[in-house]
Amino acid sequence: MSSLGPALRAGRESPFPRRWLFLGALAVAEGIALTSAFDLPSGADGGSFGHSLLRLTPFVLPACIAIATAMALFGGFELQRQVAAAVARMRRAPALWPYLAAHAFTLAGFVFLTSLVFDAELGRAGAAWVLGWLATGLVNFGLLAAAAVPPAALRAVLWRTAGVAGSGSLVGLLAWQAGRLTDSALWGALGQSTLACVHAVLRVLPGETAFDAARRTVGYDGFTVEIGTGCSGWEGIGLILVFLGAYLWYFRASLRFPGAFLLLPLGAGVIWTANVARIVALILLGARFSPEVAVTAFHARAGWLFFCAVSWALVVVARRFRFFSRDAAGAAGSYAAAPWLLPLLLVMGVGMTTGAFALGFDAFEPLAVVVGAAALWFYRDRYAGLGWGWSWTAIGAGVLVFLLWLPLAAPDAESAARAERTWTTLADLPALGAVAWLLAKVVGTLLLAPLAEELAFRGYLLRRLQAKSFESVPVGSFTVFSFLVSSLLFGLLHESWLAGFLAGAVYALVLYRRGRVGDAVLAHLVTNGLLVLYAVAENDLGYWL
Amino acid sequence: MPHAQRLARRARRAVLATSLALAWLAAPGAAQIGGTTVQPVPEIDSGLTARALALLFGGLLILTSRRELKKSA
Repeated sequence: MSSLGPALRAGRESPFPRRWLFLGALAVAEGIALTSAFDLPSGADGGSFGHSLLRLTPFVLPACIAIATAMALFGGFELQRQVAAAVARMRRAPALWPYLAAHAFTLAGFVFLTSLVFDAELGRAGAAWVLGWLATGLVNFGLLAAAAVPPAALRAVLWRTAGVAGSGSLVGLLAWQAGRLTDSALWGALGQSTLACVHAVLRVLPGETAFDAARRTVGYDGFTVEIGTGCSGWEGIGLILVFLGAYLWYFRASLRFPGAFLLLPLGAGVIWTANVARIVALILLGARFSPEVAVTAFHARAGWLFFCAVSWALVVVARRFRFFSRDAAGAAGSYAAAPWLLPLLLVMGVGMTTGAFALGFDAFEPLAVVVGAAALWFYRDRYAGLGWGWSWTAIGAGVLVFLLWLPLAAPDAESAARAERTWTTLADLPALGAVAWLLAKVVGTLLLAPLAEELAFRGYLLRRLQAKSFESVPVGSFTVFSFLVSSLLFGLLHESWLAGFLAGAVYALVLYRRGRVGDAVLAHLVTNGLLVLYAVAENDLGYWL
Repeated sequence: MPHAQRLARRARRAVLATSLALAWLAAPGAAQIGGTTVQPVPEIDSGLTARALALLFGGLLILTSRRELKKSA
């Protein structure tokens, strides 16, 4: 809500803020419907229009993101101010229905053309149809934009913000083009140092090392890897600079400048060193344990875990030392969000860690359940007043989500095969081990997941999205923004984001009814319980394992 | 707005824009993680990315929610 703040304040007496919420909800609903109805193909090889779009994505998507972000950074606030000023000057808003009627008409055309061009082979779809599809999409979006900011006001806004938008687009385009250089020109500047450092560390260990600077390969005891662009160090440095840049901006009031700027080179150096450590660990894992585990499971997971660890460490440093922070934290204190978030984060973090050493079946998955349960036990006193008890409404909501989940999150062939492999692996384990693993999985699904996820999303996030001091917001306090965003984020954490979004929305509605987190947990528990029963009874294990 | 404040704001924007540009230096890498000699380039796992980002921002929310214990008289 904060990004709309000035505009909302400026237009408090005008109908625009309410209109924007309505149009935003309409756009989101249309987006959900369209992306559910029309999917891009899963592989890039093919002749359809969808395949062509998929092949273009790696080029177009980064460009769009770079330009949009740069424009938002340069002109976002200015645009917001100008829109607020323009609509505040208007005495009354033009009628909405002509725009909506025209939008409904173009939407129907867009749906028809989408079905036509997505299904057809590219050659048969023809350039005219594709251009028609693009034009209808733009008109469709333009009509929504015109309904949000009437053309009379829009002209003035565009005129006044053209400069910042133009410079923003230019910076975005330059950043995108610069990014494309890393593969060729800029690799050597950092990649060779990464390569040399990895080799230097490996040489300390007893064993044979291999090193080829020209081919960018380094190895140990017969296991050789090529250091790709992503592993040269640029990726980590770029990500950490964005993270720190956003942190410096958001917490600028409590940071001490120019000292805080030192965090940027410090972060770049630490993340580069962590990347060297990750590659060394990967090579050792591949040489001594399993090459397949090293390059599939460990590679990406270790990258994220190292990145999270470095980011958190830098935040702790930034808040602890007076050199960086105006109100450096003392030794005594507590973390208000920890009881709400830590159980879920531990489950995810431990799961990612054990998953980094597993190929398909993760034998150590129960460890995440044990650690998550321990965190819940540690904070048990904090959950006493959250309204634990029976509720027929919550049970009904849990059944409703189960019924929604079945068609919306039906496991695809890959998930079904993965579940089948897990089941086969369990059958090959000693009986005691298999039973213990399954028991932990049942406890994790039925008890831990509902508790940890509801505490985080409904107990914490719903309130944190309303106020920084979330504890001052009563549990069950409703705003459209927190309701939609928390449900959307909950959805994104699940394989089927739409099913997750709807589930999150239903659990939030259950919570609003009596202001009890316990009701949302009960509903979630019922859904998960029914899914486990269904998966076992119907032998459709992809819904669970 | 005083001149110093305006300058400070411009400086912050410059830092953010530079960070953004440097991040995109790495963008092609993000699309082709891997490149090892053992196995073809694995696809980016969107589920893993979502969990990792949740982990990152969840940790950040915890770390920034610290409150000092009041000293008793």
